[in-house]
Amino acid sequence: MEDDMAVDANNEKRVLCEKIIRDINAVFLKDADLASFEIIPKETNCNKSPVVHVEHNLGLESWCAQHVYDHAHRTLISHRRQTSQQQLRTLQQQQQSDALAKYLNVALLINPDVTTFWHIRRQLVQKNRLSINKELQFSALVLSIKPKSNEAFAYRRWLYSFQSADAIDWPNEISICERSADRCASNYHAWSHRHWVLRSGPCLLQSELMRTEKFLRKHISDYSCYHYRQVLLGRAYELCFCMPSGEAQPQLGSLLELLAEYGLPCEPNTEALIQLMLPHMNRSSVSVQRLRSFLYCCNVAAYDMRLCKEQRALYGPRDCFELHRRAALKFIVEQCVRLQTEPRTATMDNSLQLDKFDYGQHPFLEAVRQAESALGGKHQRWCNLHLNFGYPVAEATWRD
Amino acid sequence: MDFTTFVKPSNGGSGDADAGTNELQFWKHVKYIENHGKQEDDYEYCMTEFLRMSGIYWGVTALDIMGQLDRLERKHIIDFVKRCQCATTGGFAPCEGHDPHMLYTLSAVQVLCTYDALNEIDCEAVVRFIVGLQQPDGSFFGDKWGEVDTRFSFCAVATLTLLKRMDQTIDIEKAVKFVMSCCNQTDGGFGSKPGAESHAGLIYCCVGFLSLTHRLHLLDVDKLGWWLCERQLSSGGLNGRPEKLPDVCYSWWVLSSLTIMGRLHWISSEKLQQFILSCQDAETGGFSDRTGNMPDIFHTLFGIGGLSLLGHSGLKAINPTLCMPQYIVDRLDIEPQRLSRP
Repeated sequence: MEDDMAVDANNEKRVLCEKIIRDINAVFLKDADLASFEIIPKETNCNKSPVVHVEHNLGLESWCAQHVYDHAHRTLISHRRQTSQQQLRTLQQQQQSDALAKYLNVALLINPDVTTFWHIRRQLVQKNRLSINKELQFSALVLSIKPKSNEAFAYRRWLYSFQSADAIDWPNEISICERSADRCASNYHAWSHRHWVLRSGPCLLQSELMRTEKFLRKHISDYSCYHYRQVLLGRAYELCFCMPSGEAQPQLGSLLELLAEYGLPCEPNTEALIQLMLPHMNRSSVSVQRLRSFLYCCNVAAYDMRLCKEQRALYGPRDCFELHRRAALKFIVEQCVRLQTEPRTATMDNSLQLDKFDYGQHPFLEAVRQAESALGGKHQRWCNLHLNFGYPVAEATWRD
Repeated sequence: MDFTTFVKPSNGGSGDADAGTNELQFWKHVKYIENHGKQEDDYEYCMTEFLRMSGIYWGVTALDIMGQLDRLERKHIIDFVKRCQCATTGGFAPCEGHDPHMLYTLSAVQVLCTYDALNEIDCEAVVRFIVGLQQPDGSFFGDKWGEVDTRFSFCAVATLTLLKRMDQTIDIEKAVKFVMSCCNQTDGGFGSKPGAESHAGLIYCCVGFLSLTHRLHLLDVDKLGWWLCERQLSSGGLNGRPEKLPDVCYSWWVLSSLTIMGRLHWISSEKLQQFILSCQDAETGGFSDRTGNMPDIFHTLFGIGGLSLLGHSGLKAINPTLCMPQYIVDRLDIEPQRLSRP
């Protein structure tokens, strides 16, 4: 008798789960612009559908999530536990693969981490049972509930491998990264995906420099953004990037300001700057483009150094301000050294021989070296380690 | 060394909750891990099925470090592991019905090594699985669908090392080249792919990789050591990246990296130990990511592992490269490279 009741209860559960899954998928079919999904905290069952659909937002009441997931999960795993032949038959049959997609939608929205479920979707895409555009939409839906989902980002990269670069809406992809980063501090996978967009798409350096600055002013201690900005700077210099020269003299205000702060006021023209920063450079072996990019990038780095100083004045000392300022400083010093060292390589050579460089022979770099020593013992030790500034610092504990 | 006599088993919560997390709640953790696998109807358990193999590895390793491995059913676990080997690819799935992956292949081999049961699986097929996932640039896919990550480079060399099949299988030079391309020159750290942010977990994978391929000389130990030490916060705990909160699992990844680099003394051990102990759940046993949160098996292993590296009494030595009991690594006659303290 008890067993019968248990079986009945299980059947009832299954029937209810099936209904809820059907309701969820009805929303998918009805709403082509579904934009977000969330679990609505509601512990009790009020005897009406737990599926909520309001203006392109889909919600599922929390009381049923566990049961619905369990049911979808079991169904999908039993599909996977069949032989490859049996699985193939299911995938090739329209009705059955549609059914599979129903369970996948629900299972992945509740538990986006299950890699195997994403693999079943990939197989369905390969068999043309799911369309790439709808899948891009689905993965964006998953990101709305889990902005950190590496599976969702990885899936997007996989889908894009079937499209040509010029067919892809790259700015939209950046927006998705930005939205995810906005919702989740130091969102590693969002910024990593953004880096993939940067390398895979057309040149977005200028807009990315603008956007990341905005982001930093809003999320002041999101170090992932600071790191990405360091990557942007490196990439810009690697590509010899600079602003198109519509004007005779490029805008290098931040760099001029920085030089003034180091006690080296300079005439606001390219030639004067080059003389000051790169006095020992072999001019004939460096292209005009490389020099323009050098000044442009140093200007960005100088801008960032000032930004960190201002943020610190506004919000108090924070690790990210100190770290990013150091990175920007390192960029300027290293590129100056690199351009004045023979043999010189055009790319970011990792084996830069800073320990053989004589700062005393270079007014600009020596001025930097002098000025930076005023920033405390810890900073001095960092400068010795990364820039070989050679300050006489007592070996204090690492914790200072 | 018989440490069961050393630690007093405690059966009730002590009246003072704070005192409970100043010392290692040895038997609570043993019970926690033992019971972990027994809640198959548990929602959390179902939700984490996709990483079950790693869950088993975390539990087995933690219990073995505590000298209590015999509390788990050896045969049951080995049978489970065997059933998860994919007949087509040779790789291991996290659980039956799931797809094979590099991550769970390593966990499976680690579990079998602990039980001295490598002969129960098809090792050649595992080698084929791993070799098949290496890419022309030296990187490794996690599975056939194509994600690249330095974690998978670590999994590949760790698995092959445990199987004693590092020679003439993968292209080690290329693999090294790829891992080094993930080094960030600004801070000496490593990320998941070239250009990705330095992250303590990924640094562990890359340093561990270099340890297993005997290429530690490629590291800038001073720069990386500096970055790792900056992970220690005023609470004594370690974070994984700048501006993040401390987390017990970083006690493992930062500490093991520093140990491999011969710089463990650069961290304040006492404060870190206090932090790790404060992450214990004195009622249920187990460790959580930080003080006051819910415990889980993942943080339990890394809490125990971190304490072992710090020399906490009552725990067996743990190998920092492979995150397995040292006696197992010795038994396998494996000696990952380690830099000595200067």
